[in-house]
Amino acid sequence: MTSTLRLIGVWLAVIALLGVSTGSAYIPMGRFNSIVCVTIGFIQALLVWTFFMRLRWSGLLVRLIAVTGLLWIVLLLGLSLTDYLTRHPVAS
Amino acid sequence: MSASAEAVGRRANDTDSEVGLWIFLASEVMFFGLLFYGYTITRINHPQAFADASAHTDLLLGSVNAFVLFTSSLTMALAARSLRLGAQRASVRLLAATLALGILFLAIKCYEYHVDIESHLVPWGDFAVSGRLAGGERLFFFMYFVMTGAHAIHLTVGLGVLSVMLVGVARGTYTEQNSQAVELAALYWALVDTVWIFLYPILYLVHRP
Repeated sequence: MTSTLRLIGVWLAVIALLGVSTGSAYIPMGRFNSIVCVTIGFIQALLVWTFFMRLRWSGLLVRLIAVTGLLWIVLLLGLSLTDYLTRHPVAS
Repeated sequence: MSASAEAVGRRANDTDSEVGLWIFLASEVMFFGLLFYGYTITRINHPQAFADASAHTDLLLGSVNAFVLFTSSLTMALAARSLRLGAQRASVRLLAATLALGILFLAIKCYEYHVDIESHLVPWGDFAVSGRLAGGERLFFFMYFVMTGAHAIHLTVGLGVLSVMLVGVARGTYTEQNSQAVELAALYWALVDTVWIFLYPILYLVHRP
């Protein structure tokens, strides 16, 4: 497969996932709606970063930098949510 | 051609400018990450208001824009690849297509802002919603304008970069041997695309009755 075809294939996958994500919003699943469409977003982003941003062909240093940016967001959100998601209503 | 393309594509060592740009991109991820963080905490505090407010966003315009921007990411990746392989004319055409798609995205976004303003969805004005959830819905639209606004500014900067690349490739400043600037521009453009990948579900798809 030539790399042009591969890039077009990645684009088709990203667009197909966009359709799935939009369609899923109309299926009532409660809080799982957001989990599904954000998970699809992560898959789309992984495709874009791997192929359009060429991480698949990058060296170790660039891959480390790419992961570090994400890691800090995961730490920030993850540690904060241990607080926000475990709060109990306090009578004022 | 396939074999040579593979040979051109696979590099074990990162160049200094690639490393530098990726550090910048990682800082951009942290910048937008903070906005997503703010959104998440606000939404945890106002779940119902965020669901109701999200239904006021224009799903059609948001979805069309997602399609436009995701497609521009493809044309940009192909433009960088074409130049790397020495296909200068194809690269110019693909860069022009990317630029056109980026401008189309901004035009649609501006029209959407116009509709939002007409519908009194600007949180610091005469707001369309009143009642118990109005405060939370204002916060949703505050996040909506700040996040899409920050994204639009990045996209506008990207359009400027793309214009320089387009002229540079057309004039022969950037060539097969000197394609790095275009490759770095493609990385930045894909990052702007990535931001919309996440803005789309959290702003347009929270709740669709």
